[in-house]
Amino acid sequence: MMQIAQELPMPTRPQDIGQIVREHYDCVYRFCARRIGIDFAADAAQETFLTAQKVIDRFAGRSDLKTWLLGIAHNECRRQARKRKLSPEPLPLCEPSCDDPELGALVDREALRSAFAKLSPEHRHVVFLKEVEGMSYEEAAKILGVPEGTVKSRLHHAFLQLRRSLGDGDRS
Amino acid sequence: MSIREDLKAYLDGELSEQRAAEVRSALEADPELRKEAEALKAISDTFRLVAPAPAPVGMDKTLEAVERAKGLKRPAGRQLWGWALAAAVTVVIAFALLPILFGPQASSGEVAFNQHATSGAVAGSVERPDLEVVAPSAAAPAAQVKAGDEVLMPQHSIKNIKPATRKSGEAEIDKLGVRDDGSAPGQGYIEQGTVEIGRKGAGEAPAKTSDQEQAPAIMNPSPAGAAAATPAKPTVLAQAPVKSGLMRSAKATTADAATPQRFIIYNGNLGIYVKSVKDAKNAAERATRSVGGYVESSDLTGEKPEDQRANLTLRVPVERYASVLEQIKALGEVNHDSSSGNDVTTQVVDTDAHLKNMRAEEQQYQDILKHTKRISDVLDVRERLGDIRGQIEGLEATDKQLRSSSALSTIVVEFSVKPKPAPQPVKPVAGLTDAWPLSEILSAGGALMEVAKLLATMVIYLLVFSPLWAPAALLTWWGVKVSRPEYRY
Repeated sequence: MMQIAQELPMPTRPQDIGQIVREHYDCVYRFCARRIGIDFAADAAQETFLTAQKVIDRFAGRSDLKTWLLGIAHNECRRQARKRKLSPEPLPLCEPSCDDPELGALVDREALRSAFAKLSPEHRHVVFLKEVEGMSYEEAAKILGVPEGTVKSRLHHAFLQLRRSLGDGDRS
Repeated sequence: MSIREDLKAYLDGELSEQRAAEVRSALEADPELRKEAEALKAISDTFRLVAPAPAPVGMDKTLEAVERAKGLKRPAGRQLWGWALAAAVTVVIAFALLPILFGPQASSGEVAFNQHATSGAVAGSVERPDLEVVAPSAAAPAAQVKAGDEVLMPQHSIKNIKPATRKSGEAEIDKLGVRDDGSAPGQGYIEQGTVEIGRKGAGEAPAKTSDQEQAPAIMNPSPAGAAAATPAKPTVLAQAPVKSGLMRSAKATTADAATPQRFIIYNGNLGIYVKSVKDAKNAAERATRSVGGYVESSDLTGEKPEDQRANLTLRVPVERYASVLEQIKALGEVNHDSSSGNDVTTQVVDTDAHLKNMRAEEQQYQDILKHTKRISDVLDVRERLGDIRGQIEGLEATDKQLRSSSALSTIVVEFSVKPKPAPQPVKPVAGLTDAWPLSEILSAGGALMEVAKLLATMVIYLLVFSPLWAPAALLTWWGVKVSRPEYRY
């Protein structure tokens, strides 16, 4: 399945920041929680929307609002991590649902968790953005502030490392 | 990139159509590659199912915060930091430039602003715009030295002297109104002090100096003067009060015989503004030589006539000291006048007495030598005579030096061109600008002009020094800009 990058039409500027908060708070909160932990996620999310409120005029509409907000959240999380000198542990992976139709394709959760913990923060970020948030390479690049090729390379190396870790686990 | 490196991108649908076709073909042809692709997909699928999804909290507080911030203009932290940094840099640069702005250049600025304060007049100076020093022309008669006459500068050298102390048809008389034959100088002397320059106008005599005349005493006459004529009676022709310099008495004849001889070393120091420094210098030198003195040192500096300055050290016979002093003062506007007299009479008298005793002792030893028979005694007497002779010669040298120093007085004079006075401000109509509130308005306007000039000066200095502070400021601005996310996508 290919996603052809298209120039998104200029969205109608949101009239109410409150509306933006209600529509995107959950996404931003989870993003912040995965980055700096649950303890500081709410603060980071609030600062993200306050910053968005100030700089809403700079939103050019070349991406959707969610991408734009997550970009602000990314910088806010970096700033808070520097300020509080945080190095949070990755959030534990959830237990899969037994009714999940893809249950048969699952790999070992603990092994995956262990392998995921060994990834660098940059690799984890791109994995979350792509696999969980469903961002394209282009959108992930904008959020993280890196070239698109860097996103592609990081994803490749992240999954390669996961596969090797899981493969070693299988062998062990 | 290799097929394996593009495998994840292929699974995510991020490849171009052409590249995707290549990867697809490779997958169909390579079972290992297909196996790897399946493993990647399994990891991806698993991750989506088990990715942490914490329940969001705090949305209500966020809504409250954004509502509060709607009406407030709270500057962003980074913007505040940027402005604070810019303000700190400006303050540091201002403090660094303060010594330059308010340093030595301020004195000239203050002078420029306070030009009203100076009138350019020298306190206590005498305005003599009528005086003009002119070099003697070739057609003018040369100065003639007559026996017993006090010879001053040739009359044509000084024009329009005021007050006119010279009367037509009379012999040369000095500016003090005294006809002096040159043989009996006046009596008394000013030991030390600065002569007051307070001539109020033509015809008025200056006030007396603070050091009054001593008891009547006769100055040391010059040998030439004493030999040329018998002591004459100085005649006071002018009825004006006594002027500066030496004091003279109308009854000098009878007093001369009773007063003891004094030896006084005179030193005068003059500063005079003249129109032509060169001409004044030449005139002073001529005056010195005309009375039998000499120029000990002479120095002329400056290329432009208005910048020239001359320093002269003149040695004049003591009896001509006062007259030469007056002649030099008459060359221009006196701005400094000081005189001192060092009385060495006691030293001369002591030296003479000692000398007399030594000579008498020498004569005695010579008489003893004539009657001495024994060789040892002769040798002792000769040795003693040698000592005495040495002492006599030393005393004679000292006596000679004291007498010669007191015979010739020293006048140090500096000629310069009077600096131009600062232009006088146009005075407004008396009383009009003194009334309130006009006076306050004018004062505030003046202060505003000064502030504006100061700000303009600061801007000029900032511009001139921009090569120093601009790169640092630009670097700082660039750093702030780069570090701050744009949020423009």
